[in-house]
This record gives sequence, C-alpha cells and structure tokens, in this order.
Amino acid sequence: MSAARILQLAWRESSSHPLRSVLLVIGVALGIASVTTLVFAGEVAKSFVANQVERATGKPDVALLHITTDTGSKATVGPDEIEMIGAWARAQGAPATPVLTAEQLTVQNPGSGELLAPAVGVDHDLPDLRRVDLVAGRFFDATEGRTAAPVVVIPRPLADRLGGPASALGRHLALGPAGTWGQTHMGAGVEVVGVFDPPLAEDGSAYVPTPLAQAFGAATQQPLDVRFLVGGHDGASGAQVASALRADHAAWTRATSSLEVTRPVLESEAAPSSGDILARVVSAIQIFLALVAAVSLCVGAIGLANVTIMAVGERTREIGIRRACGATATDIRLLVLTETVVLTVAGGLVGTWVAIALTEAMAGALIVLTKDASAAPALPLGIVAFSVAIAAMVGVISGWVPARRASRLPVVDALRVQ
Amino acid sequence: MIAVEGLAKTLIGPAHELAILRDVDLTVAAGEIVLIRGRSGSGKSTLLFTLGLLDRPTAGTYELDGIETTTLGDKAFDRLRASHIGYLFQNFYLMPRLTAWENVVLPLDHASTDDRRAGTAWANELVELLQIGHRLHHVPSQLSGGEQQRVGLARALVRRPRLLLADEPTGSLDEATGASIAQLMTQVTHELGITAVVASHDTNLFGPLADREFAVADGTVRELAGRP
Repeated sequence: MSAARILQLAWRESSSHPLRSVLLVIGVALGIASVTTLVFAGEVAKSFVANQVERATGKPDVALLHITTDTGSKATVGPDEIEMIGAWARAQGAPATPVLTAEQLTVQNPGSGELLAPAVGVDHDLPDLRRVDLVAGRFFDATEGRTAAPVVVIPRPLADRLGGPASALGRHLALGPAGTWGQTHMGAGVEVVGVFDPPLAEDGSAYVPTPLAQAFGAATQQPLDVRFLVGGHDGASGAQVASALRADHAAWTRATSSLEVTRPVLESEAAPSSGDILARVVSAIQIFLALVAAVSLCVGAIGLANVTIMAVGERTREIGIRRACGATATDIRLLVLTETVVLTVAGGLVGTWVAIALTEAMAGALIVLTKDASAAPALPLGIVAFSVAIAAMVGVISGWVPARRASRLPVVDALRVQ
Repeated sequence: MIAVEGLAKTLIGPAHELAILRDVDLTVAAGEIVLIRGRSGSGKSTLLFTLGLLDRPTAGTYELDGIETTTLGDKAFDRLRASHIGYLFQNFYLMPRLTAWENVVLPLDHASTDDRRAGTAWANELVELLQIGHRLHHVPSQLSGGEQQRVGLARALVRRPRLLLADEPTGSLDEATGASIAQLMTQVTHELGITAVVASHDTNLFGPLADREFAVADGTVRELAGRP
C-alpha cells in the first residue's frame, strides 16, 4: 500500500470520528503550545531582565580593561597607544572601544562657565558595546570620531536643563575648564548633536569624540585615564575575553619590554554582573517550566496511547475484516500508526499556531513594558520545527503499541469479536 | 486448486487441548463448487478459515493453486490470501461507517495503484451484475439483508479471486432472499470460473448447486458419495 493511500485512509478514519479526533488534536495542541510558549516565555523573561539590567547599569556583557602606565600613574596615553591596544584587542577577535576620561574634561555653559556635566572621549562604535538610548538627534559618526569634530552627545538631565532634548539639539557648549582650553581651542565650542537616556546607575557624562579628548589632554597636559570596553566573543563573555586579553598582553609585554613609558598594563575590572546572575536564574526557571510542560506533554502522550488502544479495541472486527479483505499486518500497523501521527501532527501545527499567537502577544507586551522594539525576541523557527517534530514523535510513540497490537491480532479472533 | 492432506487444527488451552479438525484430506478442482455441511460446532468454519488462509493449521499440508501454504512466511501468507481468496460471511461483516460502494472497493485499499484502477472498473460491472447499483451511497444499516449480502459478494469478488469461500452465506437471510443469493453466487462463480467452497447446513439450497458435497463431523471430513 502506498504512503499516499495510507495517509488517505488514515485521514478518512480520523475524520469518521470527528469528536474523538478533535479532542485528541486539542490535547496535543495544548501540550505543544504549552512547551513552545513556556520556552519562549523564558526567552522573553531573560530578554526583559537583560534589558532592565542594561538600562540600569549601561553595562551589558562587557568587561572593562583599565589602562595605566607601568609606574601605576595615570600618565598620558597617546593616540598611537590607544590605536595599538584597540587593534590588538580586535585582532584577538574581541570587539573593543576606548573610553577616555580626565578630571577637568567637562562640558560647560559657554557664557557663564557653569559646569554642566563631565565629558568622556569615546569612539563612534560605543553604541555597539554599551547601551546608548538616544531620545533625540544622533550619535556622532565615524568621520566625526576620527577628525576630532566639535560635537557632543549629552545626557537627558543636561538636555532638560537646556530646555529639553529638542531645544538642546544644535546648542553650542564649551569644553574643558572655563577660561582656559575650551575658549582658546574650541572657538564656537562643541555642538549638541544627540541626547540620550543615561543608565539609571550613572549620573551621565556627555560623549565627545576620542580625538577631541586626546587633543584636550595634550593641550592641557591633563593625564588621560584610558579604559577599554571589551565585548563577548564566540560564546565567551566579555569578562572571559578580557581575562584572555590580559593574559595574552602580559606575555606580549614581556616579549617587547622596549616599550617602556607607554607600555600599557591591563587590569580587568570585570566581575559577573547582576544581569548575568539574573539571566542564569531565569534560565533555570525556564528549564524548570519547560520540564513541567514536557511532563504534561508526556501525560498527554500516554492519554493518546490509551485512547488509541481503546479505539483499536473498538475496531477489532474492522481490522479483522480488513485483514480478510487483503490487508497485511504491515498495512494495519502503518494505518494505525499513521492515524495517530496525522492527529498529533495536526495538533502540533495547531499548537504551534496558538504558540505563535501567544508569543506575539508576549513580545508586544514586552515592547510596551520596555518601550524598546528591539527588546522582544522573535519565536525562533527552530522551536517551531522542534515542536512539530515533537508532535510527530509523540504520535509515533503513542501509536506504536496500539499499532503493534492491532497488526498482531489473530484474524479469526478479530472477526469473531462482537 | 485445493489439495489438503492430513490437516489438523488443535486449540491448545492451559488445561487441555481441543482438536477442532483431525486428519483432513480434501481436494477441490479449479472451477468446482463444493458444499461443506455439518452441524454447528462441527468445524466447518475452522476449515473454511484455514482454507482461506485466515488461520494456520497445526499439522498437515495445504496446497493452494500449486503453492504450499504451510511453509509460507507471514507476509507471503497475507499476500497469497489477498491475491487468491474472496470471502462471503454469514453476518456480512460490512464496515458500518462506509457506504455500499466503499465497502465493495474496500479490498482495493490494499492493492497496487494499477490493480486499484482495474479493480474499480470491475467493481462498477459487479455492482450492476449484482443489482445494487442504485444503493451504492447507502450505509449498511440502510440496506436490507439481501442487499448487504450482495454488497458482501461484490466485495469478495472485486479482486477477481481464484477461490471464493462462503461461510453460511444465507444463514442470516430469509428463504427467498437466501435462494436468490445462492443462485446469484453460483451463477457468478460459474461465469467467472471461480472455485467456490460453501459451508452451509442448508443442503436443500446449495446441494443442487454444488458439484460435490463434504460432511464435517467431530473434526473429520468425508465426501458424500450419493448426491441427493
């Protein structure tokens, strides 16, 4: 008997018992929808936690490498060294970007010299490694970052002091201590090109391009404190990458000891973040929920097997008639097995459809809660395919015993069953 | 067509053994119609089930159309049954949820695509021949006993079997309907050259239609020499 014919017969048999078939499909659909939705709910929860922690700390999976000189002081680290270290980190496969600070590097009111906020020098790729929630304007681009363009991206509290984000855009602020470098070197000052929401845990510094901060350091003889944000890579966390970089760098500095004053010493300040810990807790809860759902699916499978055995029992004579009419034992086995697989796959598809609807609702709720469209994970296609495969497997497992029993029924006994 | 020698069927229970058939020798030529008669419980049905490859004997040999069946594996056994044998049952054994037409073509569910195509064309001829063409869309519960047995006969013949086995085919019918079914069955088997083995206690009905008669008693089978 061809596969198409078996499918056709299985469908005919299933549709001849609509109530039983619908109930079975609903049972399997609920199981599959539960597993899929709970797994996805865990993803949503992880994403939500990560998002909230990231908003609060501004530090996703990123470690901080603190650069000082070999004397331990915060002596000036020149552009070449910063470029060298960045290139060296990236050569190891680690995304890295410098963060330059100096005590008197600030943005000020150009008229009164009022100190408005501290400033840090960063590269244009900072938003790749550290959360920067722009509420107005833009971050400075690569060209501006390379050419020491007089631009600044300010935190929202500062923008509020300037009349709000919209009013702040385009304003010119002074950079550096009033009356000294800011007025001497910056002329019209730095233009506000963007406003961002600073992480909750930080007061918020304004961002200026790295070359601008370096120029400030060189002109004012201010020592720059240089740190590198290092991101995760190939499944390793930022902290692991930073540790590897530090170890690698230690070996490198021994081999090139001629680099004396500017020889950087890297010091990892990274530790497991609260975000990491919360994500691990959520993962554990996710696994637990998935196990609970899987157990319910197993219970459903046993119920399905029970119903199928009963259905086979009810159809004993029909099976006998089929055998008498030319069906082989294999035909009967395939027929019963296909019936259960057809029902469970139908249940799996319905369950997947329900799960997609539920997960879209969850994702929508997450976007509303976080006000961040990128925060919601999409239901991975792998989970969908896995669900349908699980449904088919449930069908095979729950149908196997009844199918075997049906195919082994002695024909004469089957015909005599009333 | 059929050559049975020393055939026995014994049911083995936990406490004792029950011999249903003992040392049965039987030959039936191709195209013959043979009547097996005997009282209830004499072993007629068991003999028919064994001849129809629905059951295996516990001893002896059974050659069907030149093929020794007792040594066949399960698959070959099933295939031989599907290709050579058609059944007609006392209680019709129609699928209750299927229409008359679906019941007629039921054996084609398990045939190859080519056989199914050819079988469907033949089924259309059969239903006209058996005068049930106007009842094809009815389910068995909507058919009379005679109509159900005609559907059963069409189903038994739809794969053009070499051997038709009928177990009390008129047992559930009134006399007139039974006579018409017996007449129709013998007519069709003669026309198609099918060998038929009929188990029935109604010797008045089938006796005149059969070429030979056998009597089953206490598990043994003997041919009746003098025809009534």
